[in-house]
Amino acid sequence: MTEPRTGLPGLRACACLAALLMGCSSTISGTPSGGSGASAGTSDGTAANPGAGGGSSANGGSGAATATGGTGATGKGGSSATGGTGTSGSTGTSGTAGAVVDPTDAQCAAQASGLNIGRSRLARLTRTQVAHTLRDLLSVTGNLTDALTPDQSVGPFASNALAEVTDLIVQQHQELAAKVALDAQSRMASIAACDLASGDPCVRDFVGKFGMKAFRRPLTDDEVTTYAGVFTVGGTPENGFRLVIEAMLQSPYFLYHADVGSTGAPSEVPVTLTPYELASRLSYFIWDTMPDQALFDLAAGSGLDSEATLTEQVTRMLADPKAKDAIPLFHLQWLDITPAQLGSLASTQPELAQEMIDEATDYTNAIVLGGDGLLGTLFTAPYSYPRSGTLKLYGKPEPTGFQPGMQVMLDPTQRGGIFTQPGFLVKHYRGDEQGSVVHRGITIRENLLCTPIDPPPANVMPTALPPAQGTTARDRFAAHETGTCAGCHTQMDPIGLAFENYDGLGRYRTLDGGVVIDASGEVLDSGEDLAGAFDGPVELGKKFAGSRTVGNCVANQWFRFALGRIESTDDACSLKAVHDAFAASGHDIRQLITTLVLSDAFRHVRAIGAKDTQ
Amino acid sequence: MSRHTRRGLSRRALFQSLGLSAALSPFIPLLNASGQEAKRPKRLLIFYSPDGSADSDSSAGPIDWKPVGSETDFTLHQIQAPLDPLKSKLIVPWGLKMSAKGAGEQHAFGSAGCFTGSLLKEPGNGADFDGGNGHRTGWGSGPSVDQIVAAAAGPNCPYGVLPDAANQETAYRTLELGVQCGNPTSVTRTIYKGDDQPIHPETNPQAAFDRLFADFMPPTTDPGGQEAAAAAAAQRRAEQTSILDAVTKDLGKLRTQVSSEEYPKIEAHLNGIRALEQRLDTMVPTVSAGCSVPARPAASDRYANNAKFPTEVSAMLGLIPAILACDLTRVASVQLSSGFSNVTHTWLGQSTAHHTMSHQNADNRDALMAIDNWYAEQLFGMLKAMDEIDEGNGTLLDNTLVLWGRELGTTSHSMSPWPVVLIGGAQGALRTGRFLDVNKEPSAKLLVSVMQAMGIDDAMTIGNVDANSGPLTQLT
Repeated sequence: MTEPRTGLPGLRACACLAALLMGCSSTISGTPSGGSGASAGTSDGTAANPGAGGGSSANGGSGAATATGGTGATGKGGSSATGGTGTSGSTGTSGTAGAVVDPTDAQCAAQASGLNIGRSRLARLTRTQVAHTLRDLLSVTGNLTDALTPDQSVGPFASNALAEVTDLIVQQHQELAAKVALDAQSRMASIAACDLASGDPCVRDFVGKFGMKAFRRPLTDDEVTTYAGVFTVGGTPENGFRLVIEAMLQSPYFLYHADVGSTGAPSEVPVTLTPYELASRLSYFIWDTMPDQALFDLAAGSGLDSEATLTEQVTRMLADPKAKDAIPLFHLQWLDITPAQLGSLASTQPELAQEMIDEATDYTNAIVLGGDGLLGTLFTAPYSYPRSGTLKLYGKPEPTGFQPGMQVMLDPTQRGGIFTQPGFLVKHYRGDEQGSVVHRGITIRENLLCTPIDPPPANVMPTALPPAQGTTARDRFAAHETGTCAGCHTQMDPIGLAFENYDGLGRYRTLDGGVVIDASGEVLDSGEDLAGAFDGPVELGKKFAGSRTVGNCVANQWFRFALGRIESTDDACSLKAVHDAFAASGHDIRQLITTLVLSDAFRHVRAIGAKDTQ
Repeated sequence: MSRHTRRGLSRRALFQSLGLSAALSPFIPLLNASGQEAKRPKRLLIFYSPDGSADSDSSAGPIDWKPVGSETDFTLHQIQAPLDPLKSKLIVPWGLKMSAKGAGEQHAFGSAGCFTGSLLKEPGNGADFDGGNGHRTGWGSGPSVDQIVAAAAGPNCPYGVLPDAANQETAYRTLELGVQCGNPTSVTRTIYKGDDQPIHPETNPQAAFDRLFADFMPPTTDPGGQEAAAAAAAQRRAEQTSILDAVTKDLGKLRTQVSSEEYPKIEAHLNGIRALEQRLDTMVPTVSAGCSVPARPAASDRYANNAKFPTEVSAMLGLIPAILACDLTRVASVQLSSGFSNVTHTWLGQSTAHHTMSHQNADNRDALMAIDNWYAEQLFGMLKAMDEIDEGNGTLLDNTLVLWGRELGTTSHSMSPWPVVLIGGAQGALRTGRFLDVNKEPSAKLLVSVMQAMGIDDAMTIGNVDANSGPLTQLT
């Protein structure tokens, strides 16, 4: 029985169910289907992921009884795709086996409406976003936002785009606002920058200036009047000052990413973001916090309209220390290096779990921000940045002058790239020696190859056979190779079993149950550039480094992280541009980030989805 | 600021009319309009502990925890034995089949159904979670029994006024508490306001304490002090009102700028603001007999710390008698851990997580029973404290109905018999001190009985799994 993974998009693409329905056995055959459409009416549209290859066509899912069907996804490895049984589905183009099929340049140029993007939801700031914003807005330190109810997620990434608003979170934000405002009171002179005791114009001036930072856009006159009224109720300047802050930090314009667009009203057609909204989207993407003065100044002067300026800003922002908050946030969530995925390790050995997270954070920053920025390097670098605990897991003695977080070269026969770091290897830790074959396979399959896997049939309750002398995990998992299990398990097990040289905590071992471990693996049904056997995760890293398939999936994950939503077929042209540029640059992540920022999807917003993307 | 209790005058009006100061309040019973002692109201408390009763995937079968003996003369099984000193105040209904079904697997739809009798839905409306083994689910589809009871009003209900009435009797209509409940998914939430409306519990004991008890006023004899306190309260009320008005205005403006799909979010946010506003008007409790401020819990860690689980449980449960006795709310729930419980009970000498042990290819039934026994001990500690508070018409425990439930029947995912216990009896609404063989009856009947016991006299249905079940008549 595996523990829950939160937040993956709902649609499955494995041939498992189809195989079961057709009574097929050990190989994937028949028609791969897109997942089921979301249920009636008010559903949030998630794109059907392309069907995993092998079949001759991919169908979009059918909606529930009264719903519109999901849009048919492009057939992967198929010859055609039909839309779901909803009002409209798009016909996919034929694909080469295993490749994610982008539309052509001609198709994108010919789009009837000029440009097309998927629609966004109104997202409340995440806990880290609130913490970082308060740090930059009011120099707030400490972990005040830990007490907020946990975020939900979109894909693997923390996001409250779809989270319900409860009385509790409203109250918690009220408490947080009161605390922060009270603390700021002693710094009134430096924050207000004029003498509030003198009344107007200072009061209105303070409300306008502070409000502009709090709401991340200039206030209207009416809004200034409202908050100046709050000041007045305070009686004294100190009290009034405190109340204005306490109020603004509870406003939805502080708490939500209010990407309304330049028309000021919700639109079914994509509209440009206002310069302030673009500045905000940019800063939360690259820094996980509010814009700085430079970005606000550019927004005020409409400087962010130009691609050249945007590109300059991305470069500047990636070089800023604040990027070290957001960039690892992407990578660690993408790779399932989070307390939830670490299983019981996070709660029973919190210091070691934190070391694993810190090591992966430093590694990511060193390569993506400080190094060559290449995806391939992430997958293959022969060094890491361990702490004392994780150094022990590597089986290395502490080098002289060791400091936690310094670069340490690792044994290239055993380690190389992110896949061999303890943070990645520890998945759903259960307190024993065994690593999770299934969960390591699932992370690779779902997060790195973007092909979700169907669950087992409802009546199957998997109980792992216990380790025993004379058997390896491969032997114990042999039952997955036969019958109806194989359809899905061939997607995961041949990958997960290749990690067996690393135990439950990521320590290297050659024996399991006294038997020499066979770490051969294969990524089945994922296209030409991943075909062929490999031995162990170091080789898997090298395989992934050069893969267009992986590159496209990584780009899509960045899209989800940046925009807080799963890509829809309406985003296909934005994504195509990103895929192409990423590949052309040799999978340069910093280049990817720039291309994403310049894309239609990033610079526009669409609040209302057309019926076929519901 | 006037407030009328269900049966009498507000304390403040009473003090003013009697010319008494707040200092004497511990000695003034709650009197009704004709000077007779008004009955303390009924309370409802849901207590959740994880998983089902012990079974072993690899062995001869689940434990039989059916109490041994006759209806009124019985011995509790080990998993409930710590409740023995309160045997006369409890009922063990053995054999219920959980009214829980739907998407995902049993931990998921059990969580969605155990207190709601409602289906767990397929993914949709943006809700999409792993409901176990990769099965995707949405949220549950109906309110939990505590929310139903809290939304009602009537002479036998906890509340006499409806939820949106101007003069609320308590600062909180309901309180949802928990300890290390995990990220929000269909497997970790058991309390629902309604369809697609899970309620997330407060899981930080110190934050809960600060929120609930920070405003408690120690009695003061100094009239100047009383005046100052009143003035400060009035100022605070004016400040908060102006803040909440500004926020409400912004929410209204934002609503015109977003798609209609977002209206439920805005509406829910407005409801949260209204709840804050309503609380401005509710009288702050004063420390008095039966209502004393509990110890302030220690801070929690950033992430769930297994070693601190027992302390946090103890701290959170330690708040509840005071929460109820001080009338901060009359309907509450406390969820300890969640489905797929990752808690490793090292303090019981165990080294594998609760849920992991339930599916190992080994017989872990002894260890699993020890875990249930431990949860029963924690529950007993709280119940005992409640039973030591004299409310005039019985103890706080007598005035309360406590429902101890879980999301499964057995650890091997059978949905029956549901290991449920009822303690307290809600002012004699249920006949306690009994064990009932109610084999195969749907749990919806028990939940309907809870509704009836809590004053919704004509309740006959809950949820959509076993709708229109009627009550479990053997309980009364």
